Amino acid sequence: MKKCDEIRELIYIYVDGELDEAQRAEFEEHINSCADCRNELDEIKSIISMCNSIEEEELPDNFREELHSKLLAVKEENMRKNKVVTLRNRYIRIISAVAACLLIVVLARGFLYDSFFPKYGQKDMDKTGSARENAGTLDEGAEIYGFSAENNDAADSIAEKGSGIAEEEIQQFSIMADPNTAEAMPGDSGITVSRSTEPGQRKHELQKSDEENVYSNNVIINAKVKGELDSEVQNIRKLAVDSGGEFSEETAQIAMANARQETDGKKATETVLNFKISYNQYQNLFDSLTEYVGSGNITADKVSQDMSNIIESYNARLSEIEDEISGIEKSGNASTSSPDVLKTLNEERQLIINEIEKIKLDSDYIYVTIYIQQNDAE
Amino acid sequence: MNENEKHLLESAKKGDIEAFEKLIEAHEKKVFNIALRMMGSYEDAKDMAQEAFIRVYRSLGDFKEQSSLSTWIYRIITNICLDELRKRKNKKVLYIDDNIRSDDGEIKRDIVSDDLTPEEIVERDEMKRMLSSAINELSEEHRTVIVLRDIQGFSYKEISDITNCPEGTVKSRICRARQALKEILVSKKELLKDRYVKEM
Repeated sequence: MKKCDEIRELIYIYVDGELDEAQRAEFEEHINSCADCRNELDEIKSIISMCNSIEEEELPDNFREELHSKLLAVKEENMRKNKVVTLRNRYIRIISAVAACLLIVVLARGFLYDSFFPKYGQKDMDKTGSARENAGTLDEGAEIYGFSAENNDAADSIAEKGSGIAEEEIQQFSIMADPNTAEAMPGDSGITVSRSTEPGQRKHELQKSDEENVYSNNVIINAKVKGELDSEVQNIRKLAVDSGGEFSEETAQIAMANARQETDGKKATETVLNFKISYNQYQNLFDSLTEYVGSGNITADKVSQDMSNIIESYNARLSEIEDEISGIEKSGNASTSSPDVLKTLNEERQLIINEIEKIKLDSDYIYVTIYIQQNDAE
Repeated sequence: MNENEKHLLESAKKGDIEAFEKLIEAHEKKVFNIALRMMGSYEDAKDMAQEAFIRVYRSLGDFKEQSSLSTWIYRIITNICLDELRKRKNKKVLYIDDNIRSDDGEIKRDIVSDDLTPEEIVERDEMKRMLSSAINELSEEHRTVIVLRDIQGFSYKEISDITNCPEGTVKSRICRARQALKEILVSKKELLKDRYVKEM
């Protein structure tokens, strides 16, 4: 026979009918013979029945209306996020594609660059000869690459060997594996790696934005310096600032997104500067940079991205929103949810307007990334 | 879940608010009442219940249909209330004496109390108030099972699903919770008696 305190433990479960057969029989037998436990059982039953009798309250009057507006706000927020994310993703996808192309070019050239530069700068004809040999062996494997030499004879001969295009006066030449896919850009004082127009909207030359066309311009410059890396980086940074370059966190992020991300192996001897500069000031910057490091120590990749499609899709969404807004205003819909909907629509509208403005504002700038490397050939 | 509910659920998952509202209609009152007994205040209960439905709406995409929608909703409201109660406890803003405001029921009492003497009505009201305040004094864990079992009448199995605890744990928790509730009520009655004696 169980004692009273053991039985009292079971009361709480007994009242729910959750005791098993044997426990229940034992429990009931005890209860029938013990008045104290019976009282305890009654007391617990009455507490539980009191709990049971707590009446259900009705929903507060405005419960459903309030919930409805809150749900609307959540839905609008979700839609807005999705829209912006979709547009952003599109933007980022295009930019990534550009970056990927550049990466290939930069990597390919980086490899060649290293092969060439040990030879660069020596006027000795033997050395030039070996540069020529290099050019000869590499022109099959490399699609595009280029370099400068101070020696006009060498420039002439190697350029003739490659494509037949030679610019004697500006000490520049290009070597091309396939002359049909490349064009030289005599306008720049440095060597410009350039391709014929790519499919799609990317162009490997800078496009100035105007009333009708909006471009996003990016330039990746590789520069080799002779002095101590840290102080050279400071000098180049100062030079960029003096020429009108604007450094900021945001600029660095955008420029980096457009440039290559790796460099693990090179980081020790390479430093990166990211900034933006207005379209009109860019050429000055490049000229002074070329003057500073020497025309043979600098290369530039340029990419222009036509932004009109992106702006178009933003504008399409904008007119959708404006239709919705005027629809709501016209209908004079006085339902409680309207202010929330209007508010969200207006917010989204402002967001898109800001994005478009930012793209247009940015289009007057060129985002520049400079990789500065120590020229260890010296 | 019947065909109609499935259809509503599909639309609601795509963001259709009207479908969502139809889907939760049957559960709104219960959710609000669970929140009311858990939180002990009308305003808090409204906020918690709405918060719960917003969370349900937001995460409908994650809802796996092998569990029942109602169990899932009750689990969300229980968790939201527990989170809020714990948050408040950490901030030491416990509303122990905040009786269930909605439990006034002045009108209701007049209607149903035909066969009660005024003394009995006073006594019953006193008991109700005491019970509400005792429930508010329970630990969150105990309060949850008292609300779900003794006020809302869920089965052990349902409580096990809602709280995500094994049934054995639920059973022993109900046992401890009722014990605790009884002890609080006993001490309250004694306090009441003392006061009554002193006033005499």
